[in-house]
Parts: sequence; C-alpha cells; structure tokens
Amino acid sequence: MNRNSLLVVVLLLLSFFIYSWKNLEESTEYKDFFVPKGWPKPVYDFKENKLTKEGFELGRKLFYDPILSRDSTISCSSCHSQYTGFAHTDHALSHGIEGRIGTRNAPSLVNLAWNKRFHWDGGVLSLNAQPINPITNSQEMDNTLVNVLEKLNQSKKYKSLFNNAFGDSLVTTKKLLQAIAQFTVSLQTYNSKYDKVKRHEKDIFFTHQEENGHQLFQRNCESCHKEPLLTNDNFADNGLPIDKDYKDFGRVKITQNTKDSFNFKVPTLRNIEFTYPYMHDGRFMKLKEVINFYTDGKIKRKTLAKELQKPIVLNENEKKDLIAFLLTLTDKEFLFNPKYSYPKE
Amino acid sequence: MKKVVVVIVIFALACLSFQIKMNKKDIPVLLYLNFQNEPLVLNDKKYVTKTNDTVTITKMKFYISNIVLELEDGTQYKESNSVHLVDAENMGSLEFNLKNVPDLKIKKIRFNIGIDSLTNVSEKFDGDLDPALGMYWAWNTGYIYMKLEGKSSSCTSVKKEFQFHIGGYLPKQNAMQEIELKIDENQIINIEVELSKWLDSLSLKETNSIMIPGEKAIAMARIYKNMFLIDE
Repeated sequence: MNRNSLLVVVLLLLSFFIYSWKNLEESTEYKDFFVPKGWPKPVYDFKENKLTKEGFELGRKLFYDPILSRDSTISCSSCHSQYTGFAHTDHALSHGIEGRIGTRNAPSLVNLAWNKRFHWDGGVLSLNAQPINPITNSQEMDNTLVNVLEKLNQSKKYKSLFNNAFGDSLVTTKKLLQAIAQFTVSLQTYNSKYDKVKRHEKDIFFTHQEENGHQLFQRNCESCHKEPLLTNDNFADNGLPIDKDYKDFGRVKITQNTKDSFNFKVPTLRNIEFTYPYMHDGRFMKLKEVINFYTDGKIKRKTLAKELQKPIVLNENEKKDLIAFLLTLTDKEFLFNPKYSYPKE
Repeated sequence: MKKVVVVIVIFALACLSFQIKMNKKDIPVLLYLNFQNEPLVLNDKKYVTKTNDTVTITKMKFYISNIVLELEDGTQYKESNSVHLVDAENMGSLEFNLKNVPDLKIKKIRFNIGIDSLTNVSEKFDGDLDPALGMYWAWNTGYIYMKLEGKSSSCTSVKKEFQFHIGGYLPKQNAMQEIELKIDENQIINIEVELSKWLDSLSLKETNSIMIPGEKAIAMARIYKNMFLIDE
C-alpha cells in the first residue's frame, strides 16, 4: 500500500466516523424530551429548536419574569401557575396588567408538544409564535416586542444567558420565542395515577369506583377527550349556551366558516382537579357542574358535535364515579416538580 | 506532466470566475411612493381623492416578495430569500439590490405583494420577517401584507381614522397579489406605487377599517394591486 492509498483509506474512515457521529447526534434529538410508551409522535419541530439545558433554563426565567409586561407587573406565570397545571385558578377570565380582564380563561399548559394549534379558537399555529399574543395583547401584558427586546438587550444578565443558550448575546424575537418554547414544550405530565395504572405499575390499581368511572368515561367522553392525551386536539361545539355579554363564537372568527361557530378547542383533562374554572370562559367552578351541563344543559343546534348528538345519561352514583376517575388524572409529581417552579437565583 | 495539468486547471478556474464576474451584476430596485404623481408626504399633507375624501396618510408599509425577472434570452432570475419590507417612514427600505443578475435585458418583473403561505408558517421570524416589525398578527398567526393608516373627515370612526391591515393565506382568505410588469431595461428597475389609485376607488365613509383576513381583505388587495407601475 503506498502513501496515497493509505491517505484515501484514512479519509474514508474519517468521513465514516463523522457521518455516524452526526447520525448519533440526530437520533438523540429528543434527548431531554421523553415520549411515554404508547403515546403518539410529538408534532413540535425539535429540529428547528433543539432543546438544551441552557435554553430551557432561559425560557424558564423568562416565563417567570414580569419584564415581559409593559409595566413589569405580570409574568406568564401570573395566569399559568404550576400548582394548578399551569392554568389560572379562581378567575373565570384571566387578568392582565392594571387589572384588565380578557374574555377567556387561560388554558392549562401541558404536553404542548402534541398540539397542532393553540388558543381556544386555534388561531395560533405554533408554540413558538404563541407568546407574542400575551406579550402584545392590550388586555394582557400590553407590551411591544420592540420594547421587550430593548429591555432584555439592556440586561447584562439576560445577554449572557442568551449567549449561553444560543451562542450569541444579541436578543432577537426568534431567540426569545425559541427560549420560551423550550420551557413550555417541556411541561410534560404523564405520572398521574391513571398513567401508572395504564403502565401496570406495581401495587397501583383503580378503585372499584374509579374503574367504573373510567368505563363511563370511555363510553361518554373519550371520543373527544382521547386517551392518552385526554384531548383529540380538535375543535368542537359542545353545546355551551352563548354568553350574552362576551358573544364569543370561537373558531369561526379565525376560519370565517359558519360550520365553526360555537367551536372551541377540546382541552386536555389532565390535572382537571386543579384547572378550574372550566370552559373557555370559566363559567363552571366545579366538576359536578360540568357533568350536569353535559347530561342536561347542552343546546341542540346545527353545529353541535356529532359525538354529543345522543344524550348522555348518568345517574347520581355514576356522576360520582366519573368524577372519581377524573381525579386520577392529577399528576402531583408534575404539579410540584421543582424543575418547573420559580427559578431561584 | 502533472504540473501542466495543475496549471491548466487553475487557468480554467480563473477564466470561469472571471467570466462569472463579467456577466453578472447587481440591479438596484427603487420604489417611488407617490400620491397624484408627487412623492407621498406622511402626516403633514392633505390630499383630496376622486371620491372627495380629504385624507392624510400616517402609515404605509407592505411586503414585496418572491421577485422573478424574465430576461431577453428567455431565462429567469429568481432572487433567493426574496422578502422586502417597504416602509414609507424608512427611506432605506425604498431601495434594495437584486444580486448577481445576468447582464441581459430584463423584459419582465414579477413579484408578490404579501407573503406566500409557506413562508407564513415557516417561523423564520428574522430579518424583514421579524414579528417585532409590526407586520405580524399574533392572534391569527400570519403576516400583514399591506398596512395603510391615516385620517379623513369622511371617516365615521371615533377619531376619524382609517386603518387597513390586509393579509391572509388560507385557501379562502388568500390576499397575496401577484404582479407582473413589463420592462425594457438592464441597469435599474424603477417601480412607482401610486397610492391615489387605491384611495380613488374607495369611499372612506363606507369602508374605513379592515383588520382581519377574509373576503373584504381580498377585495381590497385586488384594488391596491393596481398601484404598482413601472416608472420609465
């Protein structure tokens, strides 16, 4: 073997190593993102926004920092608090700066990697773009992106955090949105009693009541609140009477197709014990009210979801069983996970 | 022998690069925002339209994208990453260069007013597509293609203001307009944007606010499409 052919062999080997190393890197792109067994493939594009520890921590800091609002009084966490499944408990409608009140209830932020569309009306097509809404909406943070970028670019601390996360200290819209998304896409809940029973974990079983509730759930609710995500990520008219003050017709505002009147996002039921009040306008405080609405309160109209055409009939005991099942969707390991809580310096 | 080959290769490469340099150049595109054939003045000037609306213009911003040139030899030049935000407040935005255009006569220019559906959902979010530039709808994800704002005593709105934010890319909401103009030029492209052609076709008393995608936005886009002309 002469020197030249040796060189060729070395080069070939080297390129092979580089190639396989690159492949290895690609195969671990969900490194910090766990897809539970039996769950569908996430729809979030992790290739465009690779999860890193630095990016996640930066996003977490931004999520909890009132710097995003015009008068620096509220943060994302003001309406999305961890202990309530990142929803807004107690308030039917969510609050902005100066006590301004919007028209909808802040939804729970969990398992967002499986969401194709965001907001109750699905007007937002991506998790990355979503934060522009609360930041700029006059009823919420009432700020401008220009102002947020200016404030962040004046902060030595943030400039160094952006540098750690993205290799460049200049704060831009794109990096800001990617950082926040790295945190929100990581808000994963899959350790409720329901999950553990499904996984046949040792010594964990449904009670007789929960088991009965699960069967009732599968018969009456699961066609829309599809397992394991407990939502089909779709939009439907669930027969909720229109509120005469807000006159919110939901998704039709986005699509301008009258078939979408009264259509709202089917929310996940995970952690439902803590995400009250319920419905897009937070009109129900208790689960019992929600179930009573589905059995007796639905408005029959053209747009009513086909899944709800047949009446739902449940006696008092069955309603209790159904609630017992819904409570098994609570994931305390998620609600109290220090990884997601207010970042201490 | 080897040395000869090397010399020949280097010579060939040199010729090739020289040729590339010889035959390509940058073509400036200049936009002239006019109102009744005079340069548009924001805020301070009152104009009277053919429909008898007295107007002042406070804001005019729009996207030009996907520029294609048709050349005399029948080939096409396509600008890469072709997105330009034009803003009446920003003189710098009224001029940009098309890079490495073959040195041939240009017969036609084609471009879009707006952003195509693919780019709307691409989440590039940088350069002229940065949502911080005020041309992005957050609540109904997508770009605003044309923003025109001003005041007119004809407006029935509270502050006598009119606001047109035109956009939309979904099948029945697509407000992007394709424009094709004939040219006979190989040095510079001058595009005139005659705003009066838009406002002359409207009655601000009847229409003074469009802020969402849909039929009305599409109808408006079809009117403002006529503003774009080649300035010879």
